[in-house]
Amino acid sequence: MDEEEIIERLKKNDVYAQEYVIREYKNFLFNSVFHVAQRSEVAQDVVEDTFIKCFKKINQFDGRSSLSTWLYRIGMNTLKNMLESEGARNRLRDRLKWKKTVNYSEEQFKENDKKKKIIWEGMKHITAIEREAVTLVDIQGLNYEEASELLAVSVGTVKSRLFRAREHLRKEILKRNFFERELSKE
Amino acid sequence: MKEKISKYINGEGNKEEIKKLLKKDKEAREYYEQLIEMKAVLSDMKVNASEGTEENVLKKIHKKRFHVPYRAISFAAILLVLFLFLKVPGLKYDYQLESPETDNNVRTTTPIEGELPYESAPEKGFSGESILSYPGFEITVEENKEADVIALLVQYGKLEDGGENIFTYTLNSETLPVVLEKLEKSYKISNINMPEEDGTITLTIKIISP
Repeated sequence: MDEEEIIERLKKNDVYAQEYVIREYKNFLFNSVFHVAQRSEVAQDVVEDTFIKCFKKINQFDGRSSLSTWLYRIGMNTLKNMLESEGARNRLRDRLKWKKTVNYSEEQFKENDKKKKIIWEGMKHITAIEREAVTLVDIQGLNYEEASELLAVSVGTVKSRLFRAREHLRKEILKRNFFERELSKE
Repeated sequence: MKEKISKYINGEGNKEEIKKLLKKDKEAREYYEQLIEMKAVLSDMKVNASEGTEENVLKKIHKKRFHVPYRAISFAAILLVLFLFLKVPGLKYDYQLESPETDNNVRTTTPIEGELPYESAPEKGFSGESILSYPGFEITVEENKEADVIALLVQYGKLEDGGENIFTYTLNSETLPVVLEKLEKSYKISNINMPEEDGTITLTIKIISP
């Protein structure tokens, strides 16, 4: 099914097209939101809300960007609004206790995967913008051009954000002995 | 140097130049290795959305669609009940007759000029301070006969809200007895609102078809 056909079918409220789109993009969206928000419940809510908004407003989709870009932007705006809302602030306060997040990361990244846990902790200490760049390029494996389209910034901006993000993250994980084994070998 | 290495691990920049740098500079090589290792772990940190995402989203979308008629029907039913209660004179009259003598707060007068059904009513309940202990009042006025009432309230009260057929005025302890005395001779009056904390009372006029 090509994108044009998907859009046409979504406009006709075709439930199979809707299911196809969710299946196709849910992990991409979840990863993007999850690593920025660092909370699984928030990420799951945002992903579901994003698809609902997308299907309801599909007639407003003008085709100037790809469907994935449109979904990503809706997702990130939904996340932003959610975090700004009173309810989300309360949930964020809960997050400060870290309990659920840590459990979740252990579950997601498998037990005793020390390096992933260190990176997860390090990611908490870099900015959301930096997390977004790292998530798109280093976790999701997008190239600079793809990331720049999603972020609606120039390729140069993506490069500099990514450099800053990697540098901050490297320093954070260095503090947590991420490279300890390699250094001791030398 | 660091920025060049960061770009290099994404396949950008002058490869030969970076290779030479990595051979010569130990610090650069260490930085490069750290970034490569960090990137390797990051690329393995993908997570999956819940397997029930499709079902949840589709359920929510279709659930909302099916709910609309029920809401509309419920809303229409409420409107119908309100319409019957407010617009059918018989229904309202019966309701008000249930306790006119036992409840001092409910006072009903027939729309016949100069005649009061309950002679003691003005003296008993609607003079001086005792007025404030009573809830507010609703006056039902027949269409085309509302001008006198409105003129009276404009003179003594303060208009709070105005709709197509409903007007709400605020009266104080001085103006309320005067207005009531004039109105209850000719119009049906019943209670509806509670007095405000400052002692003012709202008076609602409903204009009905004859």
